[in-house]
Amino acid sequence: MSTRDEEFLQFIRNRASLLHQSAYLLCGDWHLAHDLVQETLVKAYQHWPRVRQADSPDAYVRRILLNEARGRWRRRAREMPVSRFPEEREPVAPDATDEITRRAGLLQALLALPLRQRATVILRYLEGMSERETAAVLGCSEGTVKSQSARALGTLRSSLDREESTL
Amino acid sequence: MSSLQEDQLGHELRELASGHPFTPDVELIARRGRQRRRRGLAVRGLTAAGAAVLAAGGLFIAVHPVSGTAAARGGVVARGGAAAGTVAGRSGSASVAPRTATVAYVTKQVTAALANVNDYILRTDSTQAGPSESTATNWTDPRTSNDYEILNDPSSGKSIAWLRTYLVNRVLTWKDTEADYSTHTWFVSVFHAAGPIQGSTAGATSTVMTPQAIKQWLDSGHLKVIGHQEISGHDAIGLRGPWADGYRELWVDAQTFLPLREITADFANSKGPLNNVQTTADETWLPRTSSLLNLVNNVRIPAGFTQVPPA
Repeated sequence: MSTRDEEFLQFIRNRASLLHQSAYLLCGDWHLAHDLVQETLVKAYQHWPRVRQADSPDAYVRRILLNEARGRWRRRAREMPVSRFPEEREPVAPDATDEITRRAGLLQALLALPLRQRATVILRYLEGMSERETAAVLGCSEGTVKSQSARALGTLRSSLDREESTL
Repeated sequence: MSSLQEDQLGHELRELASGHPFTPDVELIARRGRQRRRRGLAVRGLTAAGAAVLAAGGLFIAVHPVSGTAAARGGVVARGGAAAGTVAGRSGSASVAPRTATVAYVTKQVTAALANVNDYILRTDSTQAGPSESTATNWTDPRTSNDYEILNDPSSGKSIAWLRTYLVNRVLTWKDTEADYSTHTWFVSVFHAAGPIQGSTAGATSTVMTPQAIKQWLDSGHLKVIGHQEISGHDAIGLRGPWADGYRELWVDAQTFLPLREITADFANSKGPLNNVQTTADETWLPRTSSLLNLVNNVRIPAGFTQVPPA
C-alpha cells in the first residue's frame, strides 16, 4: 500500500461512518447514502494532496459530500416526478412505540427542509460542528448559519408538534 | 428551541442514523480515484504533446521543405529546442525574430511551421507541479494518436498505460489499459466524449493534439507576446493565451520558431485559493522504428499482474 493510500485510509477510518450517517439524513435512503459516500471518498482520494493541504480536510470532504448530494438531488428531480419521490425513501418499519414514530416523523420533517437548512442541522446537531465550522463547509457566513439553523429548527418543531397532536 | 431541546435533537438524529454500519471499499475507492487522475493526466499529456507536434511541423519544414525522411535516417531528430535549433540552423532557412516581434508576426512564423508530422514518434517528458506532483513520459504516434505512458506519482507509485483513440459513431472514444505497480493489478476501461465530432480520428483529437488545434490556438486572437528569455542557450519568445480553464505559454526559438518549452496551467479544479496545476513538457522527436511502434501500439502487461474490473 502506498503512502498516499495509508494516509487516506487513516483519514477516513474514523470518519466514514459519520459521513454515511450524514449522507443518510441528507437523502433519507441508505443505498443512496452509500453511493454518495463512496463517490465522495473517490473524489477525496482523487484530489488527496489538495484535501490534505486544505485548512480543514474535514470541511473539504463534507463540502464534496454536500455538492454530490446537491447534484444527485438535481438529477433525481429531473428523473422522476416530485410526487413520486417519497416512495423512493427507505421504508420505515411500523412500530408501536411513540419514540419510533416520532423519529420517523423527524426524518420526514428533516427531508422536507430545503437542502441547505437540512445540511445545517446535520452538521450542527449530528456532527456537532460549531457555527464557524459549519459556515466553512457551507461556504457562507456564521450569521447565515445562525439564521438557517433557526429557521430549520422552527420548521422541525412545528412539524413535530403537528405530528404529536395527531397521535 | 432551547439548548436542552437541541441536545435532544442531536441525540435523536444520531439514533435515527444509527444501525447501518458502513465500511468503505478502500480498494475500489483508490482504484477509481487513480483512474480518474490518470484520465486527467492523459488529457493533459496529450495537450502538452500538441506543442511538440508543432515542433515536428517546424522541424519538418526546416529540414525538408517539401518532403523527406532524413529524420528517420538520422536517429533522434530533436531534443527540446537545442537540437531542433541546431538542425534548423544548419538548414539556413530560418529567419530571426525582431526583439519587438508582434503577436501577428510570431503567430505567422509558428503557424508556417505546421506540417505533416506523421513520420515521427513523439516522446514527451512532462512534469506536473502543484498540489499533485508527478512526472510522466509519453510516447505518442501522431498518425493514430495512440499513446504509451509511464507515470511516476510520488504518492501512488508507478503505473503504465496504453491509450487508444478512436471513433464510435463519430464519438471520440478512448480505450485505456492500465497497469498499477503499487497493487500489481491491471484493467481496461473505455470512455468517450460527450457527443459526436466531425472528421476522422486524427482530426478528432484536434482539440488537444494536432497542428490544426495549435493553429486554432494561435489564431484565437487572444494571445500576447510575454517577452524573451534564454532557454537551453537559445533566445526564446514567449506567447501566452487562454487554454481550457487556465493558460498556455509557448516559448519558441526566436530563430527557428520551434517550440522550446510549453507550460500549461490548469485551474479547472481549483477551489478557494488558486490551485495551479502546472505542466512543463520537453519534447523529443524520434524516427518511427519498429521497436518504438511496438512500444506505443502493443500492450504488454507485466508478468504476475492480476486483471481487475474497471472502476
